[in-house]
Amino acid sequence: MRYLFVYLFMVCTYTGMQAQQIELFSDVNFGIPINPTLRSFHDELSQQVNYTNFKTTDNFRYNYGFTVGLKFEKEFSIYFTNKVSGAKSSVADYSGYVRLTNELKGYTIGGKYDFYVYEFEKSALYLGAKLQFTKSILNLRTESKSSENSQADAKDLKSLDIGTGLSMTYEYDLKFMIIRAYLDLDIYKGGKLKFEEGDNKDLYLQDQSGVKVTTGWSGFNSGIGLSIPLSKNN
Amino acid sequence: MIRSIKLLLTICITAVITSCSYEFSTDNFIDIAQPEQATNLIELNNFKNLDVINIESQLTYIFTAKKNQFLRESLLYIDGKEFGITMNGNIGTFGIYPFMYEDGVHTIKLISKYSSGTGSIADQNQTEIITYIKEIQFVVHRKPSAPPEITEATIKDGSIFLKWSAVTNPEYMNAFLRLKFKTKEIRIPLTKEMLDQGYYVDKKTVLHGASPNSSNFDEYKEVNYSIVFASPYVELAGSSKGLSYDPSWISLKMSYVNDSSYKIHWSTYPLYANITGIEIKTRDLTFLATSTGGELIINKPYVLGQDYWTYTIPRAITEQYSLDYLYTSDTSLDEETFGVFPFKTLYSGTIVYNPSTNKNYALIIEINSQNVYEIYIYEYSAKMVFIKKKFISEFKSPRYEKIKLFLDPILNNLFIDTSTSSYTIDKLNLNIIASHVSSDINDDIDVKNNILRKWNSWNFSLSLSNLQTNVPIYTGTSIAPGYLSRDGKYACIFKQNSLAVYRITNDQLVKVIDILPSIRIEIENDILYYSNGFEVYIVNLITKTSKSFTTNWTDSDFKLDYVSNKILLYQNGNALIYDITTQRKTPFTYETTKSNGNPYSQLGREYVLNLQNGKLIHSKGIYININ
Repeated sequence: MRYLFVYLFMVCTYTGMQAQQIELFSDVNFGIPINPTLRSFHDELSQQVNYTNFKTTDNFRYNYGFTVGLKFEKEFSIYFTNKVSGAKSSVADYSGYVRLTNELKGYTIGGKYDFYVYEFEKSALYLGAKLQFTKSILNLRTESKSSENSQADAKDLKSLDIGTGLSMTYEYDLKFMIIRAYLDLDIYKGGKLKFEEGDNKDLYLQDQSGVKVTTGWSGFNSGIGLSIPLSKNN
Repeated sequence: MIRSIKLLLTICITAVITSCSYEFSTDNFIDIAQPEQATNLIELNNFKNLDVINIESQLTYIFTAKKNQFLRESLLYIDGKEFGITMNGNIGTFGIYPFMYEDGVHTIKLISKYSSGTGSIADQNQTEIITYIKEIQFVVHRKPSAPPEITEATIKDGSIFLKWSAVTNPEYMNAFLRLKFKTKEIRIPLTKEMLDQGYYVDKKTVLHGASPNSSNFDEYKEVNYSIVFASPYVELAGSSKGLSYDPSWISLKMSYVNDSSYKIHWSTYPLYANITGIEIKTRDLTFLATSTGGELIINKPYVLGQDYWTYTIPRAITEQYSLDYLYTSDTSLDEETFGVFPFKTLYSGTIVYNPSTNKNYALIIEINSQNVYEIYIYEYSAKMVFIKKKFISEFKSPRYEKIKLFLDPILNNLFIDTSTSSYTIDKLNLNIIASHVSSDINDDIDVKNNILRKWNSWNFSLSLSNLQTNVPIYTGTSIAPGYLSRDGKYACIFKQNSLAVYRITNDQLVKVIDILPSIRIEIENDILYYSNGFEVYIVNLITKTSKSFTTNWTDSDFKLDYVSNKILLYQNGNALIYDITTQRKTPFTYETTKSNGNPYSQLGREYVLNLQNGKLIHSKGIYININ
């Protein structure tokens, strides 16, 4: 479904490219979430695993991903972002391992409007506002292997998150492509992380105190990428 | 074309982006050492490999591991079969029951499963279990070794000496010397030292045969010795040797001492060291006799012919043996003092000695299968050994007191007078030489040296006649049968309440002497013997001199012994031997009543005494040489 969604998005945008100043851009981005509830959720989970030296090494401290999008007339952009983050606690020795991993994937479609803040000869600085929708998939996975016995269990939970944000973008024009860098502040309202399977569809993720656990997409995002003009009016 | 490429490129980029995953850090790997297979974790207490287990045994072992290693499971297999273990912490206990196994080598397999203690994930999951196996073997000997055989069981120094064959390193739990009696059994534990010694002296066993009417009369008549090796399951006995009681072991004899005492002799009891003595109980005395034989004078008159019963019992030095008395109805007589011959069941009134044949002859009455009495002559040697017997005649008149046997003093043949008949018997072949039989049962006849005396108890007629010359010597009446001496020279005739002795000379009676009334008369070699009241008179019919002696009873039966020149007088159990030469009187007592049921009791309920050739003969079958 999600592939179909992306595919339609790409086809629709592609049909209007020819008549406007359109840039195809692609970024790699890196974000630092601000106090995500998933982090404490993972801590709670890992504390329930009673193995010596069971240690948390990842815990939603950052996320990263790719963004592709189209920018129309140097002002309005639509984009698709794929970001991932995760948490992991584990212990391993010669006899086996025990792992607890939470992997969070987010598929975001958003739009941004940029204002010129300052323009140089070959570069420009933009300030933008964003509105974006993120389909989040949280994969809870436990794995263990001990003395030839392996066990694994995985659950997927999904949520739809709505976010907005401010963006500061810097672009440098190299004639045939534009180098871009940006720093964003995203604010999300996380949706309920619901189980995917049939009977549990109405259940959603809560921490031990009963508070809804949401995704950790709120935070600072930065990125750097390239933009290729697909058509030029001048 | 370019559009298609761009579209494809777009789709590929999309696919890459959507498949992007979070790159997790590597696992938190803890580098700890893997467990190693340990050794010597199990130690059995007091047990070594190939130890022998012959009895039910509880074995204990200790499992020793490191601090963090914990025993999870303990298994026991014996010869591949699983058995239970009682675990108390790391200490295991299990039993071995040899009855479950054949003799031979068996394998104990102890399996201990314990946690590795490494702290690894598997260890924390309690899935890192190390298996330690200890195998140890034990040997079962259900059967003990073959016990040695008893090679000797003999009496030595008054005890029972036993020897057995050598045995090398025998295997057994207990060893015994087993004494088997008829029903009882005694076991003497044998130590290894005793066993190796190869012999044992049984200083306790007593063998004895009690009287058959006692409950366990034959319990201790025989003992069988064997050596027993025992395991808890099997007992094996080696071949045995036995020893049996012999009736001669306790031999009692009686001897005559004098008219007021007799003596009891007892032999050495072969097992003299195993007893404190022999208790001897007689009708006169009970005493503990020494075990090594001896004699004791009992100061009671010996009654000739009496059954001297005894009870004897050896007294063991322990109370282990419950012996019974051995009853002997008639104690043996010392053959140095007594002569003994088989005579008990026969009746005989008279026994005579014939110097010309040096034999004794007894007049015997038997009863045949038709209940007819028969007269026999039994011939004996001088020492009363039976030689032969000869039938003389049937005997219709049971007046046995009338039957008498005499020796013919002239031809040394035998005379038999039966009241109604008189026989002359050949001294050698015992055939009848001559016989005179009266058809009148009232007749009382006898023939001595061709002189016939005939008296009729019906009409009291008395006659004397010479059968050779056929001349009547005397005819008259008499209230008594009278007397005819065995040489035919003298006759005694009652006439008108007076009794006179006559000499028969040339078929004439010549009165010699008047004597006092008497029914006990003997004339021998011109000497008259007769009793009157308490007096017995001895009168020389040639010189007509007379002497007498006094008895304690009146009108004694008396018998002359021509050889020893003694007179036997007896009546109702009291007897007296009077030595004519020395005039010495030897009184004694004798048994008159036959004790057992005797088919001839009609003929003689009482025993009879005879004195012949210096032998005092009791018709029980006993004689004493009194010379």
